[in-house]
Amino acid sequence: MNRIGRRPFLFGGAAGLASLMFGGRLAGAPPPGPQPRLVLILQNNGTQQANFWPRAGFTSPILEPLLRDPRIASKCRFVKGVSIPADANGTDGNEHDVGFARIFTGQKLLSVGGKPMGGARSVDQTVARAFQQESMALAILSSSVEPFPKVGFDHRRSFSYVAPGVQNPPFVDMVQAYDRFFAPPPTLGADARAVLVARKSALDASLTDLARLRARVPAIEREKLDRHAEAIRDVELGLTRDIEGRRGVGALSPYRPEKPKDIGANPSALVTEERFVPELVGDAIDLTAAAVLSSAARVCTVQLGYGGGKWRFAWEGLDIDFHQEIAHRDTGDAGSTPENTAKVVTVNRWYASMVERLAAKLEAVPESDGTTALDHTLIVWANEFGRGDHSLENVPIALIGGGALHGLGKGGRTIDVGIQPFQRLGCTILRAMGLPARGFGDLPECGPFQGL
Amino acid sequence: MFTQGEPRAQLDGRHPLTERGMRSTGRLFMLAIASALATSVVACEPGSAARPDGQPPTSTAPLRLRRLSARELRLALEDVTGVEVDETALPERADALGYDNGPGLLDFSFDDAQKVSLAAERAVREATRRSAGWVSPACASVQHPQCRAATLALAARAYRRPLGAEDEASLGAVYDARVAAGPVGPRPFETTLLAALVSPSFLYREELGSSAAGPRTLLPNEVAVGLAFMTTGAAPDDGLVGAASDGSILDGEVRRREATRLLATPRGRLTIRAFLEQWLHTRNVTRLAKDPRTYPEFRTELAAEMRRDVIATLDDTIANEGSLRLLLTTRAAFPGKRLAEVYGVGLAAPFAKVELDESRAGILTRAGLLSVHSASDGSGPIARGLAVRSSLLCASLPPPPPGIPRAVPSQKARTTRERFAEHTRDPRCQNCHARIDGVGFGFERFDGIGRARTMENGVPIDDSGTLYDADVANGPFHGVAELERNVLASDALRACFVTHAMRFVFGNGESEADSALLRELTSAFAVDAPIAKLFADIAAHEAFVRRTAP
Repeated sequence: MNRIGRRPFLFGGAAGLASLMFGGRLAGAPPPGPQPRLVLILQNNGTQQANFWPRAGFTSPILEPLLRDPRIASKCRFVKGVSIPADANGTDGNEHDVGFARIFTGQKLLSVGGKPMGGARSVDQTVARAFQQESMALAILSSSVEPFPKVGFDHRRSFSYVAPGVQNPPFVDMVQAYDRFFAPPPTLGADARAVLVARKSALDASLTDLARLRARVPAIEREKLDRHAEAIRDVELGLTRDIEGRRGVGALSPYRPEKPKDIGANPSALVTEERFVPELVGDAIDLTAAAVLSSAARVCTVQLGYGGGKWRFAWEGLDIDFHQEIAHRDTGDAGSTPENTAKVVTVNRWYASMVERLAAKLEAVPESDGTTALDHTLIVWANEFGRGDHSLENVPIALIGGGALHGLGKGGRTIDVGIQPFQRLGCTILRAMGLPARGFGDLPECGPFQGL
Repeated sequence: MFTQGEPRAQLDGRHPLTERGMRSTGRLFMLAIASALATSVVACEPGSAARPDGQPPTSTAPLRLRRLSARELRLALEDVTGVEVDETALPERADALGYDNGPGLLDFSFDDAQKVSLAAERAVREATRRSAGWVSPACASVQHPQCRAATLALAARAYRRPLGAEDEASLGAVYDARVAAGPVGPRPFETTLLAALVSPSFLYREELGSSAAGPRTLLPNEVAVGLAFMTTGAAPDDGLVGAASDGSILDGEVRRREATRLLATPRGRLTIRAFLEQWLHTRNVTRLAKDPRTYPEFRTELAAEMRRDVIATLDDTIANEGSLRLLLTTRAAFPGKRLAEVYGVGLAAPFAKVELDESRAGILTRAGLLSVHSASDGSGPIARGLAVRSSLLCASLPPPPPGIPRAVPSQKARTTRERFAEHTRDPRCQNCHARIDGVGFGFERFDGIGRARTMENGVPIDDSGTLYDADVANGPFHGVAELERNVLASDALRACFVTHAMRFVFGNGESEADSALLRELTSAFAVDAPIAKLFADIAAHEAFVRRTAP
């Protein structure tokens, strides 16, 4: 699986050349000075409200791994009061879909044959387009309860959207992601090089045919062809790099990660073997850190399980369908039975530890202006629910890092100024990335989060 | 009665349990269709459905491009190169409608570009390896001047249309550049064909019509291509090309004749099979995961046998009378050694035809289908109930409204039935779950991998169920075979099957504006007639050649 290039579509030879010279990774090195970066992390099935929000001393049972280090704690903001209207907009979706597909698109769900799809390009893709750079989308969908692909649940396979109703397919194999963003170019003989040159010329000719067709189609289909052209150009850029034996930004970078262990050799590992989930999540976090540190991808998304996913969390000592048998029983903010509450806390604490792993990696890297990479990176850790019983109230939003970015204010705080429309999250992200925005999604004037 | 153009508000449903109910357009739309049929089907002869505003019924399919699905790409690549292509190496993309040819979701990503170019390159290279003169004997010699023309002629076949001057210039330039590059690397004809095979003219089907404003009629060549892909999954043959070039393809009866001819070919039968497999979701059985503690025998080999059994049963049905009734009553099965154990039957030879007992009548009792529609560690009445409602009745239900606590499985129940009965005891859940679980309970005689059982944890199996939203078939039943027999009498099944066929053909979801077309096609559809006839009826319909402007 893979993704779609994000460069704005540029037609014609000269513009294509410009794209080749200045378009993102092939430019060879990131622009001077720290650049803004964005990481979106989405988990499923809600948090445990009473044990999430920081108490006196700015810590909580769930957040303890993240807030343990005062340097990182001082860069964390938790926005309370964010709710998402439980409106399936005529689709066959439920609250999982509402939270999952709306939180980063800001729009109402879009019905495609009844299936609830995201109704707009998601904020990560908007930012990546503005940065003229491909994003890195990773998802860990392996599950011993749900097959992959999960029949009838493709709409929960990606929260990232390139266009209304069109998902941005994430990498589920971390080795493939590594190869895409960090692998050094192959060593080519004359024959192999000629094959690549020929392939590139064939792809280039296809763009002539595309231009002919583009002139005949309705506007919505034109957008489809523009994305097609972007994909072709992205492949061509990679071919050019390989033909010329040049390394991409990721492969050149001192932050290039170790190649993830290829568990894909075990055919069920990426599909049904849940015991590999911690390793896959760890790899995803490490690849994400490397991508933003090296600027191989300044926009990254990490999806932890299907929307409404059903991990059993054996690695945390549970080995039970967390979705059905734990999260659904968390029916009040104060919790339910002590045993059930403890299990919700255990699972969410593990998620917090994964977020901390990313934050710590970025905090450890100093920038030229005396800050750290974390100060120039906004990590958004969000959830499809507020609470596991399908409550969409008080969805936990963590804004981590980004102190050097626009509009995020000081860290080390819980922002609790009452109910805030969830669309403000998208607006906040866009502003932090230096993109003007008065609102987001279906609230074009909502502004960013109040109280930041 | 439901009529085309009724205000959408009349379709609004409120969840029975809350003022904040969500609309379930599909369910209410289909119920309205079934209800309309219940009163009109006797009176309506084929083609005589009400046309309230004087316009012919049409579909709401828009003008658009339709990217070839993996299935279609494979066939198209094989047709051009003559070598076998691995479908798993081609772009796979989910479709929310359940069919692999929905243009809305078939985007073209970076990954797709990689996969298509590599698969096309591999096919071309393999064809050349087998015979350097595969394009034309002239191409066996690298410098032969006639190879260029032969290559462009084959490119036109890939494009499913004659090449224009611009095409010839662009593809010819690729050819000439390869000639100039010298002998190292792919031959000029290989790279030129690769260029054609990665071009939009190969990868997309055009449904654009002429440039006139408003609703449009497709061009004859577009109709021929659409008919070819609907019936064979691939490009038009000479007969269709002829009907396109003389314009006769715009005549409904010509289309009916051509569709009937093509659906009777081996490719045509494979296309009907592909539709039925997607309708039943059985393609996914080989990718299923089952809890190894509950079903240790569910391994790759058994799953593969299940898929093979379903395919062979579908083929057997299509090759015989090919009707929906036969599909839902057939007792033929084609198990391998492992599946024979699941079915509890002896085998003369692996994958030979066997006759199952009466309780296994109908495709819904096959292990492949039962395994897909079940939980990973149990029989899954909800999954099975939802499958029947979505595939056979098109009666999807609204999602649970906000604020209802999620169902929590009981630890005390001894049987699946007790467990689910308990979890829907809440009156707020019962209203919908009676309609879902009521059907699913009828499958309880079969466990999560489709093995028959009479007891569960020492308690006798109760496979009584209740069917809702199926007009004359509503009411109690025992077991899957009776469910199938009952539902065959319902208008809801006919309307739903036609709806699925329309999704497959038009590649988009139905709306209220499709109601007259749906009603007309449903009136003409009989469960005893070959399924192929339904597709021929769709091809013959005016809607097949009409598209709405965006």
